[in-house]
Amino acid sequence: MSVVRTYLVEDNLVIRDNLTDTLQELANVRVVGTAADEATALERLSQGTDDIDLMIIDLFLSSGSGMSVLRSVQRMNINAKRVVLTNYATQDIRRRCTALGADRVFDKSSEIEDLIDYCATISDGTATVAGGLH
Amino acid sequence: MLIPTIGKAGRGEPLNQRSAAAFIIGLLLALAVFAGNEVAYQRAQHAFVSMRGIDSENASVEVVLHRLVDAESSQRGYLLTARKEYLLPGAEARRDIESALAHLRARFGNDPVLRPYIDALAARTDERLSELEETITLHEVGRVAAARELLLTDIGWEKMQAVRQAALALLSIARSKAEAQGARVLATLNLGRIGVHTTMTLSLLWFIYYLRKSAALQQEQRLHANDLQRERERLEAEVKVRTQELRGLNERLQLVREDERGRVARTLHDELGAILTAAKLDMARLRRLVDGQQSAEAMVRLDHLADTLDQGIHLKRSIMEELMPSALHNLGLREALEVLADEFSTRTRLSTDLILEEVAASDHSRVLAYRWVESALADVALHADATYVRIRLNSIQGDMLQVAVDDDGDATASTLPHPQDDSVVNLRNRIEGLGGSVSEGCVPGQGYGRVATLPGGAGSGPGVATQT
Repeated sequence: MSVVRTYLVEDNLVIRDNLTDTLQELANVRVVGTAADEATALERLSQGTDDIDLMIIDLFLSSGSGMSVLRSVQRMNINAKRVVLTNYATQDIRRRCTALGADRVFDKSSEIEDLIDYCATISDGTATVAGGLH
Repeated sequence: MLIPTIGKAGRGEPLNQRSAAAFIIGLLLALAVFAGNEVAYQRAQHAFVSMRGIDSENASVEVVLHRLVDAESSQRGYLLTARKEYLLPGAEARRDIESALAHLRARFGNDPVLRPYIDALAARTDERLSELEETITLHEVGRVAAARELLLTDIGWEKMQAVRQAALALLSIARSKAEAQGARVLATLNLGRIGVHTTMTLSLLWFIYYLRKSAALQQEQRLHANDLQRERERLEAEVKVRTQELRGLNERLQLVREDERGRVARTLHDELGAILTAAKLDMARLRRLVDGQQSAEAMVRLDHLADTLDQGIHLKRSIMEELMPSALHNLGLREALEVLADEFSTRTRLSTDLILEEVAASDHSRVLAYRWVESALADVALHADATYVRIRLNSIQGDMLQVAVDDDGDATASTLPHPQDDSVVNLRNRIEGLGGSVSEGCVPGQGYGRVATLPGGAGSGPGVATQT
């Protein structure tokens, strides 16, 4: 059971705080950094990604977009798992995000439990690759 | 403005009255010229007849004098030669004289002025002829000396002079009569001339006056027509300006409405969404806690709470989508149309075909294009009896974008545009107000087509829209 070092890209403070607390309490997660917009996120990622196991990315940010972050991360070719947490998890969005290298897409409202479970699987090393069950 | 029209109607009636008066004056003038000329002609004719009479009078008087001399010669010849044949020319001359006198009497006998002069000429001639006759008679009965005696007296010469004087008097009176007649003819002709000149001058003046009047009238009509034209142009311009203003106003109202909807949708998404997510996170934590305590009732309550929360989430989502399609707001026109087509296809079971290019569009155009496709799809579902619908989105020349919604519906049923409700009309007005256009109609044998053209614009919306 290794600690999942998580980087959080989310512009809403309420969600950010609650998510951090919940994941750290329930899923052996340690949030190592947060960003509210695309530029901040890319700036942090450019400093190195070896200390990050998981990225949780909101699609709609205060500036820029989660899609752009995903695309940049895809180009960086890093090892961290990437999950999208959005209020707008339509089939189309899921398809797009998967195409941009996202391992999972979770609905912010209805799939919180699934996110927690997924974090747990990363922690115990059973996480499946993109396209598997979630 | 109706004032020019009223003014014209006001002047119309006196103009007609003037025309009637002018017509009557013209008629009277023409009648006067006609009558004057006729009178002059009649008088001249009469005078010419009289003057021709003077000529024949002259000739008759000449015959009388001439033949009297012949008769005298005949008498002299007989007296000198005593041969009877010398008397023959005298008898002939006497007959000619009588017929000339008879002609004069017949022709001028009724003239009270000429009558006494003719009578005098006849009497003097008669006396002279009698005197000639008497000498011949004396000679015939053998009283040659007495005849010679009578011949040698001055009686014959005096009688001849008396005839000549009577002839001269007759001719003189006839000439003066003819001259008077000539003067009358001249006067009559002069009167006619003055009449013609006056009439012509009046006609000319009237014609000039009429020309001036009609030129003035034409000028007035031209001015009036110009006024009307200007007024029409002004009204048209005003209508155009007002329409533009109303369009602008409508557009501002619609924009305010869209803004308001967008703001409410964003608040729902950002604030309420975050609160609901936070609640769900707490739910997850609570569930683990309760799970550890093995309390069945707490789990039931938690499940119920989770359901309630999910209902809230669902409600928030549907309200948000209705207010402002999140795909359009967050992803761009092309993606929003894909989502829209997907939902439409699911709902109506029609097969949809998408040919969507990435286009540049301002926020404004994007919302309008989306709403237009939405209403077009509603039209397909409602009217077209279609099995297939195709949505196209592409850029066209001049920084414009074009969206089209075509179906394979009952194209032969009617070539008329489908009935449109207020919202469709309003949408069309807004698109036109933005400088775009909307058209629709049947493509025989193919279905029903609808095309909207909108300005592209620099504002290309959220970043995602231009990144694929």
